[in-house]
Amino acid sequence: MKKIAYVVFFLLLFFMQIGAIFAQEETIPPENINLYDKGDQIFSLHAGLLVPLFFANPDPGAETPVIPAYEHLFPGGFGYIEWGGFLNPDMTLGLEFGGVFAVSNANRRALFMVPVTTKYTYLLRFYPLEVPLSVGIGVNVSKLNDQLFFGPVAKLGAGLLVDLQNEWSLGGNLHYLIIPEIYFGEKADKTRIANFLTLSFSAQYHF
Amino acid sequence: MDRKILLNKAFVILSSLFCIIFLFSCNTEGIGIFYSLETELPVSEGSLPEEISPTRLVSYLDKYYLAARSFYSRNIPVSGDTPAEGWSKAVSPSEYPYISDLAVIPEDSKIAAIFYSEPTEDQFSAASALFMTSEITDSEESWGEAIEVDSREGCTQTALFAVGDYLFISTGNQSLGYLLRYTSDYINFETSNLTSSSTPFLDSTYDSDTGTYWFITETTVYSGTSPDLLSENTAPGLSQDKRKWGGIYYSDTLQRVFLSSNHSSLGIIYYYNDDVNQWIPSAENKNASGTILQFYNLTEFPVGTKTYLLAGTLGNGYYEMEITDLSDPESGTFSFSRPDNTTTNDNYYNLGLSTKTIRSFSYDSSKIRLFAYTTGSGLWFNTGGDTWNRE
Repeated sequence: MKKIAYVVFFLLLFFMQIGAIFAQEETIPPENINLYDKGDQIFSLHAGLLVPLFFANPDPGAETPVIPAYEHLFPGGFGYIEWGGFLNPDMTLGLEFGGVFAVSNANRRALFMVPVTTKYTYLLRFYPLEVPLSVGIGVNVSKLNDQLFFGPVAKLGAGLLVDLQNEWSLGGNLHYLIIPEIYFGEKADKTRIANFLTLSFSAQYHF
Repeated sequence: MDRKILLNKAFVILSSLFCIIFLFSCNTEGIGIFYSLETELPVSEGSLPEEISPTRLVSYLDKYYLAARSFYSRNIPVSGDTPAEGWSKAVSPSEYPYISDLAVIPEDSKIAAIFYSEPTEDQFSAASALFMTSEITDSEESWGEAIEVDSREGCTQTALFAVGDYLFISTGNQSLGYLLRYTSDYINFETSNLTSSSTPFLDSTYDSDTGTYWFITETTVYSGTSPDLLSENTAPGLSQDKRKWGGIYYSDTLQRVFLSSNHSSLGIIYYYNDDVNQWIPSAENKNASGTILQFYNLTEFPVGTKTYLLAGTLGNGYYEMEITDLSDPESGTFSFSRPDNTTTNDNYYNLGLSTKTIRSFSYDSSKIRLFAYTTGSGLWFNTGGDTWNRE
């Protein structure tokens, strides 16, 4: 019961804050609204749910080119930290680093992944809302039991953030995560491209 | 224009980085993480602790008995599946709660076991004793009195070998040396003609074709047609520092004795060609990362119409070689490979058994059930080359 009360309290605070921003909207001229500039920076925290989508088998002769990943993995979780610098008022370039985990259905084996990506973000602005559209590319370390794989990762995403006007933005992000595990030679038939979706709560600090 | 150039540069840098990452993608061990998840099958929950290190499993009457420091038993399943009741602790003699080895003497319908007392800080000082019985009941009394094997003070019984017509026992300690004693009436023990060895006898096999007994210690191979005619065998021409044996095994299928090296720089399994009285070495065996394999014990595993020779390894699961049609290959022309989907399935890799140490095996031909003894990772079984499960 106490927990519910806390959640309700913080939600009220959150909506009051947003309400206050909307209330100010008419009084602030659009040209004065908290625009970013080249050299400004952001620091973000993302945490949320990992949804396994499918493993793709790129072999043209594969009997099952698309294997439902959700039949083999339970939904997992993840946490990222992100740093970015503004190239201009609409674009940031930065680094994102985090940890992802999920557990296998059959024997509860834990899959851990640590993606590190260079992330480019384009901001669509509808004050006080921001829609960051991002693309990231980088390296990923996957671990399952004694197996360790070091390979590439790519992600595409979109979010919705509310500028709270005090250097903070809050909101959510949806990312599509592509993790190829590519082999050559006799293990080439073990090549898979894993596809996940991440849904996150995000807090962004501007400075 | 500046922005365009900047973006172009960023694109070139990022795509180069991506290509480099592709080139250096690696996972030398295992079968692929996502492939492994895709093919993973549920493993049956075993009833034994997962961290035990079995030393011997025997089937006696209607039960399996297991020595894994503690003494366990379970009914032999009627089908190949694990019965619901699983394993439970079996009764040990009073004052000897732990067990180090087991042997069955089928002709005389007896089971022999080496039990030992609560270990002290120095494991070697734990008192051990040989017990024999024809029936293990729920009473400690069923084991009867300890049988005196070695009158030398402070000696420990280290291993039992029921091979050929005898029950052999390795007995001794580091200061007095280890003797090989044997019995055929299972009451009185005699000493073999071998002088004491500085290390215990590790393994034994019996060549039923030539009637030859084979024994190994860590560094020496012995053979002979009777316990009082044993002599050091002309082991493969290796310098003393390269001799470290893992196991010795007689293949009924090939009528050949195999000897595995546990040395970290050899990776070789030999077979004994008794036509020319020579050990013939395999090629050097390595794992996928290029590390030389250190072998332990071996066993035959018939799957369908084929028979495989399986060799346990240090930290690399087991390696195998099809032996159905192996006819005395030349030196260095045969080798052992990672198991394919004949003697197991992908779960062998999925569950990490492929990176465990497997020291030995037992094969129950009546149930086509192969047991693998790991070091610290429990007892596993495989029925007919299907999938590995925990006992």
